Amino acid sequence: MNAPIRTIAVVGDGIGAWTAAAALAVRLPGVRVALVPHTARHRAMVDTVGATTPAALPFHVDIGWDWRDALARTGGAIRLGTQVTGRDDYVHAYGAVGQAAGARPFPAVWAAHGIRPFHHYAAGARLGLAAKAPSRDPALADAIFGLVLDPDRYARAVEGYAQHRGVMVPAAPLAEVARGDAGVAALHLADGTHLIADLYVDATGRERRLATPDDAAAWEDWSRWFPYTALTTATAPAEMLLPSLDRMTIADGAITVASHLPDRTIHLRLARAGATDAETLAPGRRQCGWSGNVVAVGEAHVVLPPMQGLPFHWLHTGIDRIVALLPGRDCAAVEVDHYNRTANDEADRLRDLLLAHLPLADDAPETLRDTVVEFARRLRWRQRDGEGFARDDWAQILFGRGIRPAHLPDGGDAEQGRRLLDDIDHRLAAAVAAAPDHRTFLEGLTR
Amino acid sequence: MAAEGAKAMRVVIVGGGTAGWMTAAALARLVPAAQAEIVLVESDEIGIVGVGEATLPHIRAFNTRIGIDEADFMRATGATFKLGIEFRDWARIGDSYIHPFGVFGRDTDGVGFHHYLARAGQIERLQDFSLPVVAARGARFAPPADDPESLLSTYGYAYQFDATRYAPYLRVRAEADGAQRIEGRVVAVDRDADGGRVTAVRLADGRAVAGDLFVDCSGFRALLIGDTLREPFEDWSRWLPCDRAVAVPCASQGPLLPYTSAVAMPAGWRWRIPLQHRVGNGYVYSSAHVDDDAARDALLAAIEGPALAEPQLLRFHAGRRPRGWVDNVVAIGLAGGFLEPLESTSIYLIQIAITALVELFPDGAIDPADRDEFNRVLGIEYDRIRDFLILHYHATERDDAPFWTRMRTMEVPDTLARKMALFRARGRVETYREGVFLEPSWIAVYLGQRIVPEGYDQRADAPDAAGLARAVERLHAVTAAAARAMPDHREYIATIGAAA
Repeated sequence: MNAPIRTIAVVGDGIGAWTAAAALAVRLPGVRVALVPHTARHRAMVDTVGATTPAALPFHVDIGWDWRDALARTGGAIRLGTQVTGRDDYVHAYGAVGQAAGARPFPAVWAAHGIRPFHHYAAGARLGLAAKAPSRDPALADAIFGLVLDPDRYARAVEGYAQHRGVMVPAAPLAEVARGDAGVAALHLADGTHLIADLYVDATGRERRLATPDDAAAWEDWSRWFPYTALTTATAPAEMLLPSLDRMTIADGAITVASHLPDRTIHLRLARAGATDAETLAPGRRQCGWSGNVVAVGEAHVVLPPMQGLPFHWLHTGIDRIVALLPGRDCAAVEVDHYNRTANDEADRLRDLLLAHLPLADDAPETLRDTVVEFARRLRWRQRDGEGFARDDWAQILFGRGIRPAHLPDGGDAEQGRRLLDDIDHRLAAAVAAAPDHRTFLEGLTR
Repeated sequence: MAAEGAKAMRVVIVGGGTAGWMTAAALARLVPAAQAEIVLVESDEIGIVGVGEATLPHIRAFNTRIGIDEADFMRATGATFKLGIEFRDWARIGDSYIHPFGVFGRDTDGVGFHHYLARAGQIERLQDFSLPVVAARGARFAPPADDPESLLSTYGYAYQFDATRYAPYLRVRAEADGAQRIEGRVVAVDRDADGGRVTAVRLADGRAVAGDLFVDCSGFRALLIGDTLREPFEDWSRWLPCDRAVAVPCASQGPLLPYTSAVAMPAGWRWRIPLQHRVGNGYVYSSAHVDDDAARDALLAAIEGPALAEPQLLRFHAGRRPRGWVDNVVAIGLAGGFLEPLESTSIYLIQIAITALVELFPDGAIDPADRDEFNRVLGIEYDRIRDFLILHYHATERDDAPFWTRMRTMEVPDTLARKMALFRARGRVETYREGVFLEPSWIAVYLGQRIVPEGYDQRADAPDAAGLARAVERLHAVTAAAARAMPDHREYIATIGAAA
């Protein structure tokens, strides 16, 4: 009992599979990792659009690959957040917004005295609206950012990196999965050989090739809350002044997202179901991401629409969780159950953040309802189990949607409040004016 | 900010013990006067329980928020500093460990220090890598440093104080901030016509004290939440069967220890709380396993110096009311629930309830959503502390007394059973975002109760064995040296001018 895991077989292809293989090989001492190619039936969202959250930066540090190098090699960009238009008009930028007035949190100060939009006091939003990138100015220290990876070039680069770090690739792709009591007994390959590992990672996306039919069927469908499931993708030439925010339009009929790379813009359109020529992308999650000796990563576990960098965020945090909670070779139920509980808590909060962009449905998930209701009543925000984002991420989205507290918390003295807001505004304006534009920033990474 | 034209809400606090005066002081200070008028009804005829002489580090934030100066507070309440809680004889007779207010060792590459120590086969040494543990054992104390790089930033502290002096101390502040005290014994409660909300409490002399919001700080009596509103009490005695305590102060002997002790006894446990001017002692026991006289004798035999008062008997039941806020009555303190003071949570639970009430304070009418949120927040706290307390009793090898055999063999809540199994498997701790005790607390108690992990985080295999061994010994030496450099606890109290 409790013998450590020594061999891991990742099944899949694309960015999800290679990223998982590289991370497991680098971060788990004494473990050998093989990647068994299997061409997925559906193209994963992370292979379609490369928007990540800030979680991608420490993720790359942890796997020993400087994100600046990854970005420079693959021609990517940064994203400070998302500019939302359509039904509402706001920016969600990562990082803290404004500054507290003593014990009084900034959202309360703003709600009492603010005239400009809430995001006007977010360093990332101000930079983003000017198509700029952070400098070292301390006034911009709160602006953190994710990456926009070029899916095609990054896929090749992460594959190369994984192999460089010792990930083995058998000569033939997957042919058949042999099942046993513990889950997978062996992987039969197309050349007649087979491969046995202590742990199998299902990175085959929505096909969920390694899941038993029962596991694959235990699916919680989120499209009743998020009916924008008809996906179409298009590419357009890059914008001259490279945006450092995604642009997202939310309307009744469709949500569109523009993700900006230095050499092109990727446009996605998520329409309400029924549109022709569209791929169906129904968000949801499986009940058990880990079952026996098989663990699912990325879309094999949870499907998220390509908004706010969520698909990449889930891929990265999911791999981190496998590393942090790796059980022994026996994949003891107590450890696997803990993994599943933790993973599901996080997935459900990502779902909640996604749904927070839309009007609150009558049958909305309880955790989302609690968050929105508490915010709308008193600007209270409590960090829930599984929370992956911060108060100010939620505050930007909920304020942006026009939610104002019914009971205004004590915002303090009006003159002091307005002076604080003006001070922040002026500091940000001066720092943003001196900050580099996005393209200049990217060129600086390669020097 | 009050809604336009809304008049101040009249808050009537029933009961003036620790809970009552903490509530009065906090509301008077933190809720604008335009929004609330604070009245506290208490009777000099009724004594206060004054349990919870030992606290958790959170008390400092509470004191700071209501503008209390530390040295002044310590002088007034005979307080000492507290770095943790010692548990003696719990898993086995002869065992002793401290649950410190701080971390163990240094986490490296995101992997907890105890995993590295487990890999080195030395997890039983974990206590030696906690600065507050080593300092506490040496009767030393120094305030923590701010610099996160410093070993001196790896701990927090709380106080041990005379709870019978804390309430009067807060009363002065509450009254200075505008709270009004009414002397009188409550004999009846008025409700509105349909038998719903409480409208007034009637005093023995015939006066009626009317209010909009009532805070039940009447202790175990639960005058409003229990007697009047009939909110049921969820009984947890199947897991926490101790239902009585006998308490007695005694004169202090030996060095002034910056920690509270909880010593396992044949039918419960005994507390030892060192204050500046005396030591508080008590035996918390299960009346099904020892009678009152025997418990009193056992306590008197165990204390270190002459008793300074007659032993005092307390009766209670472990459990809580599913809802602490019902209609226009908010229960704070023992009226809302009771958990034995094994982990010094009594005052913490009062504080959490007050904080929630301040944050959710009605502006005008009471919003049912405020009540629900209050009850949700308090429910999580009680449930999680409950599991933590049960752990101490259940994870034991003791079979020398019927009480301990019962505790060892009882069925525990599923939420605790899985936490224990998870730690036993690989030293992992189920963490949560809401609730008081964090990962180091659980690790301290799991190991102290001899739940030894069978495995460890595989990433702890990364460093080479010799390098790891050197790093471990270096950290051990640094921790010991840092503790030695701290002043003696009693001398430190004298230097900040708090000595009695």
